[in-house]
Amino acid sequence: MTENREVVRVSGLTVRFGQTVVVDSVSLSVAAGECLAIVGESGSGKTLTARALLGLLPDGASVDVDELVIDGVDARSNSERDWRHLRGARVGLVSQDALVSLDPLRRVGAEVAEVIEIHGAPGSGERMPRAGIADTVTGLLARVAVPEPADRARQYPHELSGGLRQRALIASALAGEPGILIADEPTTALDVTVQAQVLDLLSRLRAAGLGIIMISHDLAVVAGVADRVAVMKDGRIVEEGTTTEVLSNPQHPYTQMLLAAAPRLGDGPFADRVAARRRSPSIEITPGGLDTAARGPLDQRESAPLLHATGLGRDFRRHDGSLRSAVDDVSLTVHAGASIGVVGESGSGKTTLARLLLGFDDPDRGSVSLDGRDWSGVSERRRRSRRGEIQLISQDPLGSFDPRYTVARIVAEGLRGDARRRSSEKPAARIRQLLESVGLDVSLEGRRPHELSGGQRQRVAIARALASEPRILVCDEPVSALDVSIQATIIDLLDALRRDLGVALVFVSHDLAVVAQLCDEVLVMRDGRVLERGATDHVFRHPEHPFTRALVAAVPRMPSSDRHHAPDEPSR
Amino acid sequence: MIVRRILERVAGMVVVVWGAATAAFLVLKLVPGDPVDVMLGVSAQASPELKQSIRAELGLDQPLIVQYLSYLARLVRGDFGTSYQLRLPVTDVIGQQLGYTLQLAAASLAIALVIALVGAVLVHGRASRGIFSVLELLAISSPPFWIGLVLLSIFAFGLGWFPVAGADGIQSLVLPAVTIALPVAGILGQVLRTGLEDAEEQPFVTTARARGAGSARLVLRHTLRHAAIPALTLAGYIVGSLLGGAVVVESVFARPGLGRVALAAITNRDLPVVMGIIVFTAIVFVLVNLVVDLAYRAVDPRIETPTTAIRGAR
Amino acid sequence: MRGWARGRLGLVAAVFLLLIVVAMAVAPWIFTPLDPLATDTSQVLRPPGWGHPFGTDQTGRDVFTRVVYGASYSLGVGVGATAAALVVGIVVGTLAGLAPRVIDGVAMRGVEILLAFPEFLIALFAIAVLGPGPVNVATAVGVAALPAYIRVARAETLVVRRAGYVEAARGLGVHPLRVAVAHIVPNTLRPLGVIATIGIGTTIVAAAGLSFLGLGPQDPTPEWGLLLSGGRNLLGQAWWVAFFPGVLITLTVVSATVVGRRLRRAGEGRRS
Repeated sequence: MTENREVVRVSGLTVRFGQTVVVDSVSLSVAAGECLAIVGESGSGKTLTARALLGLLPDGASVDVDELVIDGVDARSNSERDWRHLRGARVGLVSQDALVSLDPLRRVGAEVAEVIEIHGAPGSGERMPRAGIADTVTGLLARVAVPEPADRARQYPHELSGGLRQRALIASALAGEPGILIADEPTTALDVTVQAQVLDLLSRLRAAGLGIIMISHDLAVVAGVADRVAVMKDGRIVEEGTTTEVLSNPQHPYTQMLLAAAPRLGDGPFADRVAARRRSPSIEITPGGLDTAARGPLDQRESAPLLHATGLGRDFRRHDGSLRSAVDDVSLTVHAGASIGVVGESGSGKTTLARLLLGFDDPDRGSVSLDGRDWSGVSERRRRSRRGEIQLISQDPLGSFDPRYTVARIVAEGLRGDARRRSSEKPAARIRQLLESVGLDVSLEGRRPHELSGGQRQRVAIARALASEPRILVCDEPVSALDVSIQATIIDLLDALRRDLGVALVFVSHDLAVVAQLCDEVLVMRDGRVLERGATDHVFRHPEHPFTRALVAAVPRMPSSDRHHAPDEPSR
Repeated sequence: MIVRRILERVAGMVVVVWGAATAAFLVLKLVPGDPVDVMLGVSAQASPELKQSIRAELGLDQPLIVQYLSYLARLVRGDFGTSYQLRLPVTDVIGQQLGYTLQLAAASLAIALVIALVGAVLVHGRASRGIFSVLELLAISSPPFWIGLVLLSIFAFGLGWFPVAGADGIQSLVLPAVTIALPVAGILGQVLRTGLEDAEEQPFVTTARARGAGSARLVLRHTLRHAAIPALTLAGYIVGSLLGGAVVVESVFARPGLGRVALAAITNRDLPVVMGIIVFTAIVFVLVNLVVDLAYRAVDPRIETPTTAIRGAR
Repeated sequence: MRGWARGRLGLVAAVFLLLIVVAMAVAPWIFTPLDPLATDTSQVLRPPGWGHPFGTDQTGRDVFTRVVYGASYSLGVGVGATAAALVVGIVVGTLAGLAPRVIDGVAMRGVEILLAFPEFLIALFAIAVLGPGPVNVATAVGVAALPAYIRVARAETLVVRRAGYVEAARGLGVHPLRVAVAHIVPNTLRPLGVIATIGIGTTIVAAAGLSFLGLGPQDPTPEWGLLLSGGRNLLGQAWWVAFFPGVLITLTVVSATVVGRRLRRAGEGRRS
């Protein structure tokens, strides 16, 4: 490790809410020019740890700490007034989504300038004249590689792209020239290519001597930037070490589980990994109990496609009156038991495509046929009886449940909508069977949606979809809102359904690694068009289109166990 | 684009005023009773011939559609007709009394704004907001005529600080203005306070605090603007409270003003005056809404029509 | 726990008060042995005290008795007019929300024109058309409240219509009528019920205001607004005649508002 001076030193940090300990004797230190990553899932206490370093804990939190030195200042007995002198001047904060983390009613320049207005010129602390502030702001924006910084400073946050906004937020945190930057999930809201650029910016700032504490749920994101990693669980740091050590040779079982659960590109065949993971009983799935016999096994693929889309196009009007093609000339064929991934960044048209396939929206050009019969051109009345064949699993299952309904009633609605139901079984028994088949405890059937965890909600959504015995599941970012460990179990469940029931999957995601795990075939979309398609393995290993290449290159990678490389020599 | 938007906006305003005028006309034509009787007074014993000639003079013997069109034509020229009761042009009747009511409304609004702003800024997010929220609730729930009577019995009859009735000078304006202002201050204070509290839970406040901003700076530079947005939506309701309050309060304090005119016109079935007041109120509200829209744009740069689908993808 | 009014104590007190007012409206004789119309020249303008807790008026009638008997009219108008406006508002608003855009647009322009006017002025204009009188006051405040219910019912319908669970039901092939009955209407009813609870208070104040102006029931009917206006001329000598009816109105409205807000928060908790 470098001999640089320490910019943060904490030991014995404990945060309580009443009797509940949410951060438990955490100790850490960061030197100038060093990046420490704190990694954990939701509720691990990582964000509260970061906030404690700014004296910004929520009301009702009580803090005990043995040692708390921020940029050379002992902050143990700081008053709110003392903290205000530290914040911005000695420690800066970059939070998740700049759209809401910058004041939406103020110009970007005013937000960046605020630190200087409060603390005066960095270093001297003298009041700066207006013109001087404006020049400094332009300089700061230029430093974080915002093009045309003087113009951008006059715009509002919502007028900038996500990447530029995030850079502006970083510029505002750097304005007081602090010794330490706390970055709380700084790239989580960004597209993968933009994420790579922002991570690159953070790396350069670190190289220039800034100390960085980076909070993340994502080990892969951290891998390229951090010198050291601390893994948090239930308020404690369970493992800490250099990034290479922790990622290639994890000691704590929780770290091992996180690493195993994290989807990644360029691993071995999917089946091996699943098989490996299945050995742990916590993520066992039980597809049994479903009526598999009536379906026929996966390998008896019928030659006729289940779902066939040709030349699909869908236009929307911008507010200036011009047309924008959200989906343009997309063709797609889905056979029984197939799994097709659709990847792209935000605005690529992948969700619109999913809605066209589901018949929730009608195409302006082209057509969709389901099971050999027309699907996109027919009236909703005629579609209704066939809807059970193609079902949606959405990113937000909670929104897709009537808040007044119990789990049993939610799933029952799927039964009722199914016109092809063989009504030999009692609905109540069938509902229990469905809940069991998605790995849910039957005792949950009386709960209401808001009483369930994120993973349970997604399972209920899947159970409801299965109730109508679909032949295709269209999954729109079904795991994006979930912690990685939960993500993995849902992906396993979907894969089991495909293999055991022969249900075809159309899997829409921004996450290439998840798609690589689950899908045989992949479509890469951009601006409504399909840029590249083919077998997933092939497309991701040998991308042909420059955009696909950029996309694949931007995916954060973890050093694999057999190929050590020092994290301070980034591969890019 | 901008010209078109302004034209659409103006057209929308005209439609609202026209709609109000038409509704007033139609509904008031349905009112039972002969307007001529109203004009002559209950006690007058006029011959049928005289009544007939008055009717012809007023155009009341014409078919409804003719009456309607000439009514609209007169409205466009700014002619609201003649009061049956006062035998004066309606515009004069309204004009004479408008000043008193404007004075009252302006004073009430100023008092309400000061109370609401000071209260919300001082109290938000503190323990004392509990007491404050009870005061807000009481102010919102109390009928204005009762507040007026309580103020009268304490400050006019009891302490003798202010006159009991009339409209001469600032002295006589205080109690009526406070009466109208209290309920308005209650609801405005509540919206501003919760607006400030909601804004303080937003992520950008954490960012601002992480820059070292103190609470005064947070309120003035950040959260007060956010709290102003829900407060602006209340503008129509507040102007309504000011006008509706004027009717009652002018009666309680025996003050001249539009409210008294409206009440007298309604009790006496003075239809031209009622119609005139309806159209006048419609114009006021159309203008208020215009000002509010402009204010929204000034406060919130995000207001823009989003991309909409060509077809009804509702 | 945000403030006293949101606390449990406030809720219990509010429900208790509402129950008392309801009891007053249904069975006033429980509260007072006196006749609200009985005059007594020996007991003119007595201040509050034993025998006459709220004092007496200029004809010696007991103010407490008149306030108790006044509850039935005020509460009847408040609940009746609000319920009528709510029902009509739900029907019109839901239909507008589900109707094709053209019909919805026309209906909403009409409602917007009505919404341009403050509720109290609409009630006044309605009285101008209908003429004064106790029943007309009830109709007038009901009509005045209507546009707001229509607008909220429509807005809620549009929101719920776009909700994920409506699309999910559609995706399951559920019939549109069933979707409307099973999902859309029940989920719009909850917020409307909350607004109506608070609206009862507004309606009571509006009706009392019209009576206060002399447009509703006439003396000697015991009605809260009318009692206040009778007390206005006695303010110099007998503050209690106007004071106590106003206290009752305020307490009733506060209670309805507290209960309504509690319902709203319960609804929000369930939604998120």
